[in-house]
Amino acid sequence: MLKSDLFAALKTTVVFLVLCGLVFPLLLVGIAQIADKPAAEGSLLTQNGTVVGSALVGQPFSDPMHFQSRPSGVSNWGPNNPALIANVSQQVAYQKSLNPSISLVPIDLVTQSGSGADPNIAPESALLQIPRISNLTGISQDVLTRLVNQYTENPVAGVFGEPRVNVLQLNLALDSLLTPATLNAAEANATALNALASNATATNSTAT
Amino acid sequence: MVQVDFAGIVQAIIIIVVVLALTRPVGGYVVAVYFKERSRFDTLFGPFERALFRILGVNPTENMSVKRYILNLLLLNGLMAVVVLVILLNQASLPLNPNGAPNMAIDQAFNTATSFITNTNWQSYAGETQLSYLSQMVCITFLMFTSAATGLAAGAAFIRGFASRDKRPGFRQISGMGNFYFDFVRSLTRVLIPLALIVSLILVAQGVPQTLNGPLTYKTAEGASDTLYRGPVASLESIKHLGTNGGGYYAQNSAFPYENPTPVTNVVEIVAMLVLPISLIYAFGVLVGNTREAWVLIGALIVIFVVMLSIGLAAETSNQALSNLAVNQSAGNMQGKEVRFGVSGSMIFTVTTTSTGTGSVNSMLDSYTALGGLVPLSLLMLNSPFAGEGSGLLSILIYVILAVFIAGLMVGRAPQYLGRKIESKEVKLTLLAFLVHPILILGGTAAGVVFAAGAMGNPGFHGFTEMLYAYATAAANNGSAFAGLHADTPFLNYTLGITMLLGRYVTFPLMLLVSNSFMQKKITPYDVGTFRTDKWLFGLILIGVIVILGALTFFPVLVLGPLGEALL
Repeated sequence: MLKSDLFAALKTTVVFLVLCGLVFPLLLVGIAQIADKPAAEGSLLTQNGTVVGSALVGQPFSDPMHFQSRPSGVSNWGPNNPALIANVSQQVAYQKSLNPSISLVPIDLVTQSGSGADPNIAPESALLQIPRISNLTGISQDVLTRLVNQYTENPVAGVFGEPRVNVLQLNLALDSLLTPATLNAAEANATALNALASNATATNSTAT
Repeated sequence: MVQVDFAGIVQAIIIIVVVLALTRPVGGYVVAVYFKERSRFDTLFGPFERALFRILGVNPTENMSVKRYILNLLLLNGLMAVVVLVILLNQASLPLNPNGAPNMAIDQAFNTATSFITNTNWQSYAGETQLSYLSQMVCITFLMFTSAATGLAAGAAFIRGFASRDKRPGFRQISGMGNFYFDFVRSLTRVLIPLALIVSLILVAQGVPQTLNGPLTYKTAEGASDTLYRGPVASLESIKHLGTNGGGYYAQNSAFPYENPTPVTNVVEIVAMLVLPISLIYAFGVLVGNTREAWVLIGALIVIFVVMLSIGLAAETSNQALSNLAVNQSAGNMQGKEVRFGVSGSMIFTVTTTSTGTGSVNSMLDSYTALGGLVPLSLLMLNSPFAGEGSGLLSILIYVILAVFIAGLMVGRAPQYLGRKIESKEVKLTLLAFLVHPILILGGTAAGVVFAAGAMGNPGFHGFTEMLYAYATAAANNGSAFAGLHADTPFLNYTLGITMLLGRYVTFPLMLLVSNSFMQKKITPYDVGTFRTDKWLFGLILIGVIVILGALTFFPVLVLGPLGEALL
C-alpha cells in the first residue's frame, strides 16, 4: 500500500513539475512573443535607436532641465522612523531649491515608492516643475503645460488608479523639443542650478 | 483629520459586486469539478485526465479513508518540497540561468521550499537576482500550482464530511473522504491551469513580461548605467494570485511595475485572489444542501473586509510625523506606495491579500502608519478568514464551529451544526486547530525578539511589529511582510520555515479529522428548537466570536507593537 502510494507521489511530482513548471510558462512565452512581442520583452523605449529604459519602469533624473521623478530606492522605513523624517525634509529642501516658487511640495515627490522604480508622478508634481524647466530650456510654459497634459493618464473608468504622468516618456518628449543650440545653453544653466540645489540641500541636512 | 476617500469606496464596491457576481457561476463550476457525476466539460478535459491517471498509476474512483487521504497529501507535498530544495541548492549549474543566480544556501533553500509548498510564499530572497529562470518556473511557479491544488483538494474533502446525505440527482455518491489524487489532479486540470492561462493573457496584454531573454543592461536617458530584470513573469503572476500564493517574481512583489503595471492589472489581481475562496464557500453551501448557509458566511466575511478597509483608508490619509514639514499630504501617506495605485488602490489590495491567504503586496506595509499597518496584521491574526487555497475553508469553519458551540452554551442547548451534534471530540480537535495559530505567533515572536533582535529594520515599537508580523504571516500561511526585517538569517529562515510547516500541516489533518467525525454522525433535521446557522443573526454572532477570540488572544501583544506606536 505505502509503496504504491510512494510511486504515485513520485510520478505526480515529475508529471506536474513538467506540466506546471515547464509546459505552462514556455507555452505562454510562445503565445506572448507572437501576440505582443514588445510587451513580452518589457515594453522597452528607445531614443535614437538605443534602449533608454522601459515605459513601465521608472528611473532617476538628476538633471534640473528634466522633470524629476520620485526618490529612488526602497527603505521600508516605518512612519515614525527618524531616518524617514530626515530623508523627507532633505527631499523637501531639494525640491524647494529647484522650484523656489512652491510653498508645499506634493508628497509623491519627496517619498520613496513601493517598487523603488515608480514610473509616475502626480500631474501637479509635474506642473510645478514647469517654470524651472522653461527658464532652463527656453521652451515656453504653455508648450510645457500642453506636453504634461498630453502625457497625463487618468483613472481607468474614472475610478481605478490615480491621475499620473509617466516621467521617462515625458522627458523623452521634452528632449525631442530641444535643438542642439538650446540644449547646450540649457545644460550650462542646469549645471549651475544643480550646484546651487545640492549646496542648499547640504546646508539643510547639516542644519537638521 | 479624517477625509472620506470616495474613490476608494467606489473601487471597493465595484470589486465586491464583481466578485459576488462571479460567485455563483464559478462556485457552480467548482461543484461540478469535485462533486458531480458528469459535467459538460468532461469531453474537453476527460481524455487528458484519463491519460494522466494512467501515467500516474492511480485509480481516481477509489475511496480513501481520512487517514489515507491525509497520508497521501503529506507524502506528495513532502516529495515536491524535497525536489524543489535540491533544485534551489544547485540552480547555478542548471540550465536557464541567464541572470547568473548563485546556488542558494541551505537555510534559505529550506525556508523557500517550505514557504512555497505550504502556500505561504514568505521570501527571504530577491527573486530577480537570486533565482534562475528555471527556479522561477520549476520551483516557484510549480509549487504555486501544486500547493493551491493541495489546498483545494483538502477543501473538497472537508466539504464531503458536512455534505447533505440526501440522494440528489447528478451528485457523486461518496462514502468517505473521496480520493486525494482525483481532487488534486482536477484542481489543476479544470480549475487552476485554465484560469491561470486566462489571467496570464490579460496580464501580458497589459505589459507584464513573458520572455526567456536575460536581464538587459542599458544607459538611462541621462546616461547612467542600469539593469532591467525580466523573465517569465506573467506565468508566475497569474497563479500567484489565483492560488492565493503571493510570492513575487521581484523582491518588490506586485509594487514592481513589471508584476503589476496598471490599475487594470491591480483590479484583475485583486479579483483573482477573491474569486476562488468565495466560490469554495458557495460550493460548501450547495453541498450541504442550503446555499443560505454559505451566503451568511460570505456576508460575515464581507462585513469584516469592509470594516478593515475603512479603518485602513482612514489611517493612511496622512502620516502625522510629517505634518511639520512643508509637504502637501492630500494624496495620503505615499511613502512605500505607487502613484498609479494611490492610497485606495494600495489599501484594497492589502486588505484582500491578508484576508485571503495570498500575501502579495503592491505597497510596502512596513511604511504604513501604525494603525494602517495594524489592519493587515489583525487579518493575519484572525488567520486570514477568507483563506482560499491556503487552508481551504478550514479557517472560517474553525470559527463557525466555535461560534455554534459558544452560542449553544449561552442558550443552554446541545450545539448542533448542519444537523450534526457538536460533541466533545469535535470541540477538542477544533480548539486545538484554533490554538496552534496563536501559539505559533506568540511563541515565535518571543523567540525572535530574544534571538534575532538584530534583524529588525526599524527602531522601537515598529521593529517589534516587524518581528510579530513575520511569525503571524508564517503561521497564517500568508506570506506578506513588514519587509524592513532582515529575514535572511539562519535563525529566521529555520524558525519561520518550521512555523509555516506547523501552520499548515497540523491544521489540515486536525480539520479533516473533524470533518470525518461529522461524517459519521446522525443527521437530525432543523426543528423549532434548533439554533439556525442560515440566518443573518448567526452571521452577527460569528463576527462577534471572531473579533472577541482575536482580541482576547492578541490584544496584549498588539499593545507592544502597533497600538503602542499609535499612542506614542
